[in-house]
Amino acid sequence: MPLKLTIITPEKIIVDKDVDEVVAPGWLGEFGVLPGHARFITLLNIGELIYKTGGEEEHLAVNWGFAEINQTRMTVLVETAEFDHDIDFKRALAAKQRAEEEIKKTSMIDAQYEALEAALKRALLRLDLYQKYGKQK
Amino acid sequence: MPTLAVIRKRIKTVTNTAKITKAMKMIAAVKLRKMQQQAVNARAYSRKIEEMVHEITAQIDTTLHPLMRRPEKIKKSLIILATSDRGLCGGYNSNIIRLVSQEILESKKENRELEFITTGRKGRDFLRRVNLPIKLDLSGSSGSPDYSNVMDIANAIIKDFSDANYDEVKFIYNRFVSILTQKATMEQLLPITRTEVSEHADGSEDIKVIYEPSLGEILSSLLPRMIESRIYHTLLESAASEHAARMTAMDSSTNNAKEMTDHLTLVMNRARQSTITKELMDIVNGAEAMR
Repeated sequence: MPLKLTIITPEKIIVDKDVDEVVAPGWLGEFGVLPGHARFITLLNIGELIYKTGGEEEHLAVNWGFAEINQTRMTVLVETAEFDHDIDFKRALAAKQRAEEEIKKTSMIDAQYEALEAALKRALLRLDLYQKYGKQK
Repeated sequence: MPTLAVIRKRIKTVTNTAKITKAMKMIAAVKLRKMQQQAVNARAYSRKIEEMVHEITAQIDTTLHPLMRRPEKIKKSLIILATSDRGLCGGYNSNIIRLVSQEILESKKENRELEFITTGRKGRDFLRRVNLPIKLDLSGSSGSPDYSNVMDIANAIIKDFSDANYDEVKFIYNRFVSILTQKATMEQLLPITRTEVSEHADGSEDIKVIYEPSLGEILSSLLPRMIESRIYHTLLESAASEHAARMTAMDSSTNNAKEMTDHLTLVMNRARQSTITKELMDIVNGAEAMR
């Protein structure tokens, strides 16, 4: 029994296909989903989402979202999702540097601090994914 | 009777105008199709998010949530006014402005303050003329809204509404009924109206669902996304209406131009003929005189 994975962003449906296994960055840590999983709704963290079909593995950088899982379907709603091979290294690097500089300027009690930290985290994740898989493709 | 040369010149002008309006119509048609595609793409997300919110609100008491707060008396409203940046789109903007004017009158009667967010130059200019406060102006992107505009609006309203700076947030925009009709509409965005809870018909309620981290926390981060998605949807619809209105307007002006050239051609031919007749008469008369 396959697991139907749908990844949706506000702008379009990114993935909509049958997969064997999904690993997603849950709010309380990474979790794996196989077909027949219990009904489960969770928030997602900034992190790496992996899905496997046959022997093939695909990696995506996801940024804030949530997932609804039942026996045969997994629906992921995210604000942005980027395949490792779509990551623009230069842009990610620039985003990282920008976020770092901004963070230096703001103190931890500032309202923006959290948002900046999230931005930095996203940039680091994209860089990480790019270095891990992006170059091979 | 205008001379032949003058009429010819007019025909040429009108034909040129018709060429421009026809091109504008075609451009609007292409943009409309693009908007419709974008709306279709966005539908999956908004549908799912509404579904989830619905499911969760059915299970917990939501009256305490700041975004669902229902004030007893509305003292200040924020209105998101979606107009176009450019004209030449028939009654698109005037319909909206009419609705806004009504709302302004009403708010004065109720002694209620108004503030605006504008997403089009026409709306902004109108508000400046009547001297009403604009909190945020996003004009320049009315024809092709993207998600960053949405974020700007959402950030501006969510916090202020939670802090009770506003008691309601409303949208005034052109709803897309069909390519030929767009209806100026006012819609409430905040507080979120709670949809009446309906029992799951298939009894799926019984299945135990695991929520992580917790129902309340999921809801708190879901609601802002739902608002974003609703804003996005409304902006897309408003943009689609704009292109549709422009398309219709340009189509009728192309037709009008065509009618005008037809008429002018007739006048021109008549003028030409009368000149010929006159010349013939001269020749005949001249020949008569020679005899």
